[in-house]
Amino acid sequence: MTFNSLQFLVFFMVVTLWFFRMKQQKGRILLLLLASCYFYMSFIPEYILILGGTIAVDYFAGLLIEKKEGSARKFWLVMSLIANIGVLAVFKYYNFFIDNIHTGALFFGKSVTLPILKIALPIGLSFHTFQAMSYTIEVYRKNQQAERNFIVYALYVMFYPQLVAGPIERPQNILAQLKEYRPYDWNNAKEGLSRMLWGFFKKVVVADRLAMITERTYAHIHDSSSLALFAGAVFYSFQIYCDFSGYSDIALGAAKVMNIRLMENFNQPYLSRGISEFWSRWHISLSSWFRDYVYIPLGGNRKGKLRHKLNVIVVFLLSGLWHGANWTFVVWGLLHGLLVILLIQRKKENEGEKKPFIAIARAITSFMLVTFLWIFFRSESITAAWAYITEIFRWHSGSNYIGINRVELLFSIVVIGLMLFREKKMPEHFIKNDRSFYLYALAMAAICYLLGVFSENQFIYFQF
Amino acid sequence: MLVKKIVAYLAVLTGTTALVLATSRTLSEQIENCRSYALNHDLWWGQQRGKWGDLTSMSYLDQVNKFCEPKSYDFKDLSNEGEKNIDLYLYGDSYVTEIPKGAFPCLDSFIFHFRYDTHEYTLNPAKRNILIIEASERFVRERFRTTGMLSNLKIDGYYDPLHPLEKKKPKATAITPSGFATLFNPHINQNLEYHLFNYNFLIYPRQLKAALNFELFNRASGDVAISDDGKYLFYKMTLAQGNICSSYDRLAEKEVKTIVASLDTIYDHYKQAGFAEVYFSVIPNPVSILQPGWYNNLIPLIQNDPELKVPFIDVYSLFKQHQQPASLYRAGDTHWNNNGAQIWLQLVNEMLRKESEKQK
Repeated sequence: MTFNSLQFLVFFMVVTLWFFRMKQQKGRILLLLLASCYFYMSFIPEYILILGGTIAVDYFAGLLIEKKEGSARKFWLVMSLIANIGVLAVFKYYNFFIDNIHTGALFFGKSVTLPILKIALPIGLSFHTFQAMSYTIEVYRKNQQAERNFIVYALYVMFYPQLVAGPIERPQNILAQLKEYRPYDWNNAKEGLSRMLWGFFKKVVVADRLAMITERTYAHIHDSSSLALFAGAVFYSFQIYCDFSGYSDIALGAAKVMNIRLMENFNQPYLSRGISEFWSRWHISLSSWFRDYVYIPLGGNRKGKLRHKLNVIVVFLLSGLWHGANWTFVVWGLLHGLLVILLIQRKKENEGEKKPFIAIARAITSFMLVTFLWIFFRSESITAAWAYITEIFRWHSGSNYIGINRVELLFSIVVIGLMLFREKKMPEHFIKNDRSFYLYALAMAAICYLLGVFSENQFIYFQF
Repeated sequence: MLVKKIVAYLAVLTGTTALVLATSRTLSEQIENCRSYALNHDLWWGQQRGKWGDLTSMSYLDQVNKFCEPKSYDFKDLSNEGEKNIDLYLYGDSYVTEIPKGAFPCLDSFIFHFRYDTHEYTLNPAKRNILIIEASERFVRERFRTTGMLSNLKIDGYYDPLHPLEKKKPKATAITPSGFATLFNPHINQNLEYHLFNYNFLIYPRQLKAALNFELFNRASGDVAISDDGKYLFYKMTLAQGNICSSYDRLAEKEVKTIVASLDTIYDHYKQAGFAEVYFSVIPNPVSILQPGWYNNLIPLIQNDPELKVPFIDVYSLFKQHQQPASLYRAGDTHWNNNGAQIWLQLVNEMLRKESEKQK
């Protein structure tokens, strides 16, 4: 069940209305858990068993970590981490690993045949696994009490708005909210619904429209002109932003309607004036996860320059690998890491802040760097990514057709401009009073319906 | 306050009912049957039925004249031509549903077997039993990578008493959902749309969206695409990358081999079951003929494979060589028009006359 489906709209309406008819928090939590199970099972029903298994392991691990002292605490933390990483390793990385062994063996003239698993990747696996790990780590660090109520803990992992594509939450932010009874609040409902509509707009009007361009250019690397390929790369930057931040808007909005506040995941990343700043504005919940649980424990910037650079590279390599079991993601992460190191050396990222031209130049440079690195992220292989980039720089002629006509191209550019302007200058949803809310909701619903592209496109980040 | 409560309860009731109806295959079918009266009588709670073609209906572009080509099949009556010594079994789909028995010569009986149905037949040993397996190109990869059709079209009979048929269990059976899967209908979104919005009185917003997209962006909504020359509507799945039904989807040599092997198995099975001959015929997707720029050559690759045993009724080559390929398909429909149908029929009838001669 994707957010941009009719099934989700009906499901959300039914669950939310039931939620507010319940007079006790116990009933609400149970309802949300059952709804989340239904939501998750609508993708591949059997995988609920895997999710249930890891939830049970982490729940008991949390209790044991809290109860034990000394090395026993560490033991149960390690057990929990092994269980989570083990699931990731089997479902996400096993075949990648085996493929590479096969390729490596062939390179040395040997033939090795190891079994390949014919299984589908559970949807959103990396998201809920990381969220579960943050719970046991926080309990181990004594920043969070172990949760006694299994249903509350299960809901912490499975809360449907953020189950399959984040934000990757922390227990300190969510658990207390799940246990507190909060009466229906019309202001929260208005804010949440408005944010959901904004998310739908970004997904169906912008992202899925731009998907027509990128699908076309990435499928026709060799017969498209360099200009068309360049346009495809730039539009992909906006497609992935609108797709993922649109998803986050819908998730945050849906939670807000139920009086639950999730963490922000984006903060206008394409206005960043450097790669480091970009990462503090893009997929914030993942960046901060790696910062808190990998970068700082590795020593951060406290153990000398060389170690600092090494830590940065490790974090970005892991971040790349987190996205997918493919060398394209690894290279994408590595290149981001290298760029961040280069900028650490200069340490002048923010110097031009008061000079608007320099700030704009830096923002454009950062955007272009990020755009070119997205080519690795979007391509099926490193060879394909490299071909795409070289075809752009060969600057040759070819088909300029990018999958849409000129009017739609112009429309897309205008919509992207308006979207960026509105997010920068008018972050509030136009809901000062009920009348403006109804007008806004009606206008957004009409725009989404009439100008939206409904092609059953999944959200890009669902695959991770 | 009371009004809000009532509205909330109504919304919960409607939403829950819609989800249950859309999930249940049985209930959805029953609702569809109940609505058939409205559909047949163009009532306000019926569903729009386009007279110009399935694609104009799907895209709500009935008002665009260039896509509005009426269905006008004209089949000559050949029922009195030749000896009536052939029993023709046609396993096929919507391309050939409307061809009547009288359009074929030399037939004693004609059995049209729609590909979704399951039936068991007994062959008449006194006649020449001919089986034609017809498939739209977009279903070939999905349906003929396996021998699943053997469980639909079952033959229980003996053609040659000297070589009694060894009864075989079908190699594949229809997959029916069980366990968890019954709770999750993959077509739930289509069903929800049908139950909640597919009514004549709600058609205006759809037409407005279709008109906006067509006039501004030269695009059709939903599952329909407009051809590059702007003259035709295509079913989007037949030109989408990564879709098994698509003429543009990448095709591995291994997959062609698998299909050929599967067709050969089917051929052997039905020959052994008593058919005098088994023919295969693939009707090209409109996009394969009208806009072949990135065609994956599925049909020629299968037809020309040296391992293939089953004889082909080769309509693809004739369509390909046609002076005016644009005259073979309806502009707003997934199917051919009368010209296309006649070419296929001519090939089949030539084959039937030859088979009839063999029987004499």
